[in-house]
Amino acid sequence: MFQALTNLEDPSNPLLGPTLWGLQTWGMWQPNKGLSRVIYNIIHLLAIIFVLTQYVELWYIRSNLEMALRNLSVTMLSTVCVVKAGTFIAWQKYWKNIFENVSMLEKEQKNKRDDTINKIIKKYTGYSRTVIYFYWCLVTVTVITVILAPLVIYLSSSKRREEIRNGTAAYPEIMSSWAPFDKTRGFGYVILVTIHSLICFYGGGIVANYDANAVVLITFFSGQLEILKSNCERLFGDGQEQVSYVEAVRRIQDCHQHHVILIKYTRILNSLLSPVMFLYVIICSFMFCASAVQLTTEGTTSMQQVWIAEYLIALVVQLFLYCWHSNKVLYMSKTVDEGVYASAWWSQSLSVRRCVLLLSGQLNKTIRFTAGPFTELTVATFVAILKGSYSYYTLLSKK
Amino acid sequence: MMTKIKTQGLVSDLMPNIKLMQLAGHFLFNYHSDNSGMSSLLRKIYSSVHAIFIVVHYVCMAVNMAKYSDEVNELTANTITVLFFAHSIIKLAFFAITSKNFYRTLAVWNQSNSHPLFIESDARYHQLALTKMRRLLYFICGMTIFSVICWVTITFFGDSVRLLMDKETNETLTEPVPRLPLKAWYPFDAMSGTMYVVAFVFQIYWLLFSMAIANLMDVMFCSWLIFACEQLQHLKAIMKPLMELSASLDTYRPNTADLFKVSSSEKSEKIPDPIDMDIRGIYSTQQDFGMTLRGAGGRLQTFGQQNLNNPNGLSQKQEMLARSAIKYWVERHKHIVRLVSSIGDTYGTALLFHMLVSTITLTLLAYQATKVDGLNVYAFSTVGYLSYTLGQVFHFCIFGNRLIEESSSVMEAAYSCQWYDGSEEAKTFVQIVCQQCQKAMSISGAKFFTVSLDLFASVLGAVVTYFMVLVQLK
Repeated sequence: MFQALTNLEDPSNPLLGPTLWGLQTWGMWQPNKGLSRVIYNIIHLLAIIFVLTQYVELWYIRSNLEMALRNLSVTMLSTVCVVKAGTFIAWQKYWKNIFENVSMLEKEQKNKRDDTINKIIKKYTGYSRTVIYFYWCLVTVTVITVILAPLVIYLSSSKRREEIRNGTAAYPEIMSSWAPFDKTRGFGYVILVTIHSLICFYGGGIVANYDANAVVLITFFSGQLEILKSNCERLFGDGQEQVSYVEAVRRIQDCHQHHVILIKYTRILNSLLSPVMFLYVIICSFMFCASAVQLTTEGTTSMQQVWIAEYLIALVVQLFLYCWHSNKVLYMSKTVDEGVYASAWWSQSLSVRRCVLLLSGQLNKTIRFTAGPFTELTVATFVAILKGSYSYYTLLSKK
Repeated sequence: MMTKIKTQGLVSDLMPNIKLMQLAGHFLFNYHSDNSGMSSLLRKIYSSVHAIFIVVHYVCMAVNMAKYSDEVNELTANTITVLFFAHSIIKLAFFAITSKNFYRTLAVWNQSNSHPLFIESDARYHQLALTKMRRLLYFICGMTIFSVICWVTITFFGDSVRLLMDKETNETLTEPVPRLPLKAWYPFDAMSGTMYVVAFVFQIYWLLFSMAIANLMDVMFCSWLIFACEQLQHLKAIMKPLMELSASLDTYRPNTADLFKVSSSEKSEKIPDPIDMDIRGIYSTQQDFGMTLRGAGGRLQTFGQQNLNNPNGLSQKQEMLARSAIKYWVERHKHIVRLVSSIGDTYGTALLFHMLVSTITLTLLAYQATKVDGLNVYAFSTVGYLSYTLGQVFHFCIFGNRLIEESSSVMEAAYSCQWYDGSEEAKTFVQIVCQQCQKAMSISGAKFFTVSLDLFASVLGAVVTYFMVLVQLK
């Protein structure tokens, strides 16, 4: 398996190799025109139609609170899924811009053959690989749990089997969606199970790859800010080096341009992620509380509780991943100008000192990732969402 | 081998605290004068034995909580006690796991720079810091011992009973339990006799040591913050004399060509004037010596051999003195920034755990407080728990807040000194310093929250809100 993982590495995209492979396989990243693009777009359209059938089903079962919550906890996630896929394809041009520049920036830095920079690059590349593989495992486990849960329920409770054979209870279904044919028995049921499994597989892949890609890019920016800080610290050596005015200004210019580029691309990334994250943050608290209510209603068996708990944990981890890494970038961007201060600026002349001052004014700018116009993606937002979900949960479970 | 290791920096300042922590059983194995194999083995055994006692008794308390969890009031009371002492277990484990970070933070101040003009001010603020740290240590030790005494005293008042829920009639029954400070499950019968005395003495030991473990670590954290604050005070105090010193450096326009030329002529003035022994006094570190040998004091641009253009007629030595003072200030400030970030890295996660556990404890205590119906043992113990928990949070919030205030007031000190009299170099120095000090230095709990009085206010506000809401719901 590790051999397969190393095959995902791409020398022309040193950081983004595995994520680009994932995005391309699931049809979001479509660099090649032609038949494959058409096929992928048809698949995406079918997924959107499926999500609409889920909403239709929700309308039909709206009076039964337990079933409605069960439907909602999956429907909302699938809505976010198709929104992610749709926005990615619609804004391909900007994503392409970011990918190209990320790879170009990394290659430039590797060519400088600076030990400190290489060490930092290696560290954040290793970290992002760990995060990607962990997240892919988590999503795989969740998808398997969701697909196999009805089967396990069927096998575990003999009472349920009796009821199904009698005809009093319906076959357990993976997701709740509407179908124009009879989905409770026989051939219709088999078709629906197949469709549901495929959709789970598709949805899981979309979520895993989109999130992994976003998190890798955010980690890239935080690593780049660390490189920038280290470059600023070494602007004038350790105070003993004889640095001419021209050389000093050139180094300051390098740092300044690096920062300007980082600001530009984080802004583009933020504009791509912000609408999706806005939708996600809004429905996150509802998803949490719907799953939590399902977990604690009296009818659920312990097997069901296990899979609901796993699903809830995966949702929390997904939100936390975004919030933690954006928070990290925010903190890194706040500490970058300490790097300038830590350099040996006191050994330089007045003119260089004024340039240093202007540089630190530029580095003062913070890099924030927002979720819509109202909130930022930080750990504080994460805590607030958890608190909000808990409040909704207490209200809903008392009813 | 009794080799006397000379302790320096923070370690020598915090030696009483370190010794107490070693006594209480923390896994602190450095900073002993005797490092032979036998004594270090003995110390490890000592710490391990303490750790085993504390963990085993904690598990007994947890077993007791799980066993009698039917009745709500009994469960709540036991949960609060278990959470209360969770701090000690967490801090003991945290120190054992991350002791390298603690040693690193304690070693941050081992080498500090010095300047002949500012030695006296440095020593004065260092002494102030030392006094404050000692006072804090004595106060917290006193409070710990006082709490243990109160706890043991209150054991002898009130009924020593346990509440049980009768499943059939749904009534609350009482069952007598041994009159001990803490309710725990013991494999032996501790109602009376020798086992009762043994259990009582063990519990007193346990109370004292587990409270000491938690509090001493907090004291160490706060002592670090006190030290950083006093260093910032020192920097603020020397800002004015620094400006006055550099005022003697006129606004001097150097020969631009000389300034930027990396010429061979500079290399000729490598050797400093050996008669001027004062110069050696200015530079305390090897680096500085190296710089003098290269000619330009502190790698600053020299303005020619003879200062014909300097109207004040300052010698090169005096210019170097002024510049070295600026260098001292900046390097000292950077050192403080390094210290504060090291403190944050070391203790941030422990603060996060502390706040998590305290939040849950305070929520439960707010619920308990609604059931207070008179001036009895129950009321006293609830108030005691509340004030102790809030006091622990207040303890580190107030010092965190002071750090934030001190570090942002450096900027005010810089602006309020007479920078207009200073040289151009001093003015750019003030500009760069102010730019840096606009952002206050703060300690964050693993980036989840900032340690300040705002945090304490929000915790207190939350407790009061829960209490009000629960009272209304009754």
